[in-house]
Amino acid sequence: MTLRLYGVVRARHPRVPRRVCWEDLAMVVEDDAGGGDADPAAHLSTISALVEHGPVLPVRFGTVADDEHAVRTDVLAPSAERFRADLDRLDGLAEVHVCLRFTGDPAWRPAGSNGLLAPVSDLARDVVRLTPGEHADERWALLVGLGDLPVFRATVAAVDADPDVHAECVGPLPAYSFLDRRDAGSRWGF
Amino acid sequence: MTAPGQPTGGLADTLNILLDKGLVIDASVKVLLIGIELVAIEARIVISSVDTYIRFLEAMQRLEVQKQDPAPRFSQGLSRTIGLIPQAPPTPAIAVPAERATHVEPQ
Repeated sequence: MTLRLYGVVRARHPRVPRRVCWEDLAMVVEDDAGGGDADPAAHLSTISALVEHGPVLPVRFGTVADDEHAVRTDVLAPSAERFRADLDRLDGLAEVHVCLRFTGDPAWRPAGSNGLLAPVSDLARDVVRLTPGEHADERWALLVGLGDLPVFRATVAAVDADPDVHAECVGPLPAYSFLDRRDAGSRWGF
Repeated sequence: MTAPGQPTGGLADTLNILLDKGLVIDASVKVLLIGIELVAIEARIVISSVDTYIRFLEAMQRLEVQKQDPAPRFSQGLSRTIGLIPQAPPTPAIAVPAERATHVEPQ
């Protein structure tokens, strides 16, 4: 049976519906019926639900494996050291996206967020600017401690209270934007 | 805060997060990138936005190329967007090299 791969977690992660374990690592998997039923929203929802209970390294959407043996020998075993290091690095952290839309008078509309997000970025361990997409003027990915999430939400809500800006956050997400930043020593300021 | 994957987040936002992100498993192993599921998404992408669709299309083309043919076949790109983008008309052959060839032909 072909398996759809979601992400790498620690073998002792408490909330994984189905996993393939190898030593202290596990791949979150699901049977793939092969009928074209992969739903991106369900995929994202499934993997994001794991983040608050332990670090997750998301695998690219659409990746499948032949069987459990292939997951162990071809995915987990060859990259085990890197997976362990990344799981340690991202332990206790989650990615949150903040989307900004400037709604004020176009004549006075700011060209960018400038210092608007400074209180939000102060709460983050790392910040990356993303392509905004069609529903936002700016989109930022921030790496936030899970314990800071309530304060983070309140801070974004305070930004949203500005009549000229609509601010929304989406998360917690697996650290999609921070998988390759293990060597980044400095934060990206606003 | 919107939970990821919720309907209020919108498919386009979901794809903004998902596409081209995440660990890439080495292509040399027995793990394959699927094509059939992505075709199912294609229909919904069309109604979400052109921008997202084009980015999705690029992702899909890469998968198709990897899956079917080790050699890149870029010429088949847009023709796979069935009914959406008209296929480019065939480019007329350029006659300049042939004319030059007749001029320099020795007697």
